[in-house]
Amino acid sequence: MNMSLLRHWPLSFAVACISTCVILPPANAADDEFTAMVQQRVQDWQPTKDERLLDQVGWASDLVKAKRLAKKHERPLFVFTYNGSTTRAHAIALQRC
Amino acid sequence: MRASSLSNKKVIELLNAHFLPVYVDSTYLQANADTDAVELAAYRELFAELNRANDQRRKAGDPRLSTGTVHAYVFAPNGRALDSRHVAHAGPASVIEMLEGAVTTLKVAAGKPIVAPSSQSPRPDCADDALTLHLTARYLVPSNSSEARQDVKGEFVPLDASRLGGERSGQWSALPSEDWYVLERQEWSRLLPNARVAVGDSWEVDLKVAETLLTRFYPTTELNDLNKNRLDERSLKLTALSVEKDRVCARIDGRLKMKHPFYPGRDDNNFVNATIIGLIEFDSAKPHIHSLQIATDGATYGVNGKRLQQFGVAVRNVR
Repeated sequence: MNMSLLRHWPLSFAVACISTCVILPPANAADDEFTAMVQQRVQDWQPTKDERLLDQVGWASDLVKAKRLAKKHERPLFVFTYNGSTTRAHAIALQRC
Repeated sequence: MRASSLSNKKVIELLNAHFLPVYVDSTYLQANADTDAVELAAYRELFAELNRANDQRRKAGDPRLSTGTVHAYVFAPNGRALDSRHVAHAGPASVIEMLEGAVTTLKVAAGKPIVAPSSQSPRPDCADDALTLHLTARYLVPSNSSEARQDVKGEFVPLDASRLGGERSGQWSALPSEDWYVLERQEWSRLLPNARVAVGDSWEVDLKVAETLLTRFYPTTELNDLNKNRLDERSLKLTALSVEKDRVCARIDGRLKMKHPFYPGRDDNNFVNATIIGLIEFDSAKPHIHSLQIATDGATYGVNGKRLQQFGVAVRNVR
């Protein structure tokens, strides 16, 4: 170990701190602000519970199963039909419907 | 209907207590007859029954049941058609009337839902080393608008969801759209740098991977066929913000200009224009992505020179 550096450690440390404080804070502050903004935005734009009320309905996974269960449990069948996508199966949360 | 009747608490209560609810994507089913033949046959049986019921109604001088691919229907447990509404006339009051009518006619006792309620946008199954991304796209309104959410800061913010479930909640911009996509290891590894990086180092993401990530960045529209998108401009640049041993945190900056028609089968000049921002945290030695978050900044959708709509997309990885 460099003993002379060790002897002057408080001074070296203070200089290093001042240099760091002078050079880095603006960049770090900008990075911190950017990081916080991205995280906040991603969180703010997530679907809320009120926007996912569809999930509170006990939907059957398909029509064949629904018909079978309706008959078995003697319940009327409620069928919602919509025009979704030719390529995306089971994607109601993606659709405008 | 998703934003109005299917977000109405009374409708949800009736469906769960007395009915067996199911939804069917008419477009998908008819376009994929080979893979879903049994389901398509069940769907066609519904319309055969509706036709039979309408013949009987015509003979009796009763009004016919409305039929079509965008409807709400009620059938008795034995399959007999009882009632229907076109979605344009399926506001909460009308749907509640239809459901309560069926409960009274059939004397259906209240009970628990037959199928347990669950997320209708579940995380897809994928390989252990795949990166699973959840996407939310939503229209935004000025923060001083009466429709704006008050708990979110920014010039443009999400719509207030407390308005959902009402007679006038059916507009197509009312709900966000959700999507999932999975990047296999060979795809997500192309987000990472080829060599060790130091703070401040930047690298461009492979254009193909940028396209995979960004082609779903559009607001809720009727078109979800990604092959119809045309990416005129897409770029993603990553810059290391911190490096601790092998763990790197990098910011993401990018651009997207993409033609995305609103309706299927109808070309238009609607474009997405967006600045992309994000964060990625990864281990360069394994390699492994710990977290990925991407959002739009100042994104618009519409025809240039005309009124543009503000929207936002947020993507995050989900384990």
